[in-house]
Amino acid sequence: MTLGPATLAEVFAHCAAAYPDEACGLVRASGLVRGCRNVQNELHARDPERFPRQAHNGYAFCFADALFLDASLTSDDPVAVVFHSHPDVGAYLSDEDVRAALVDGRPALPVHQLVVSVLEGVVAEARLFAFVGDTFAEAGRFDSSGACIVRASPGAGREPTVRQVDGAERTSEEAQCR
Amino acid sequence: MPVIRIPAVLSTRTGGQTTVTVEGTTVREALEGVCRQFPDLGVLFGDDGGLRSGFLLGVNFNEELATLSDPVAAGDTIVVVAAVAGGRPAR
Repeated sequence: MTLGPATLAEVFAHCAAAYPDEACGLVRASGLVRGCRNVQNELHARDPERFPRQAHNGYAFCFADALFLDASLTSDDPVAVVFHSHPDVGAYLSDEDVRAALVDGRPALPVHQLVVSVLEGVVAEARLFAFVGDTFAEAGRFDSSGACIVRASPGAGREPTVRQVDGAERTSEEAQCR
Repeated sequence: MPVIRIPAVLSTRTGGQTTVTVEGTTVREALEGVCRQFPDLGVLFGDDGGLRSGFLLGVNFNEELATLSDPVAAGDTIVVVAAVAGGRPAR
């Protein structure tokens, strides 16, 4: 997949526009970006006990976007990255992010996670996480221009893979920086 | 009878079947029916018997989320997808 500056510029624009709320979206293996609708406020309004978070501190894809992602997984251009923003707290994969991404300790979806830090409305950096072994590990870090500034290789010898258009696989290191 | 659309990430648990036709007059009855047919789909339910938080339900591809108690009829399609959600750490 291509996670280069042009792709990240689209991701970052979507995240900055949503500030002070969290943004969310996805990147397909081809690099195409889809900004998704964060329905966290609607969920909270409907059932605040089950959904205590609001859009300023949480995100949830709308049903149509979740269905789009699911359908892509059997297409020739599957979603490879799910992204969301963290307004004013940094690009970390939070406990809630991890909890929501796993089912029975394994990723619910075969995707990488990209977290974008937005500080006072301006994108500061982004960090890419891949599931390796039994946990998420940082697979790359990008500055606000979309340039790769850290190329990590989580779990040496067992790098995660990203499905490609042609069905081949690449390591996360190949996938993360262009 | 309603049809259940299996999410791609769970299709290995149904032997590759992406749709399953089951009996049931509510979403819950239909899902419990498909779980009897494919026990590995029990992951859809939490310990409390409710829908696990990692999944969303819809009926006939409507944008509105469905619940387990919603009625379904012959020809309806119950769509199951993996939820995509999270939240930032506390300040």
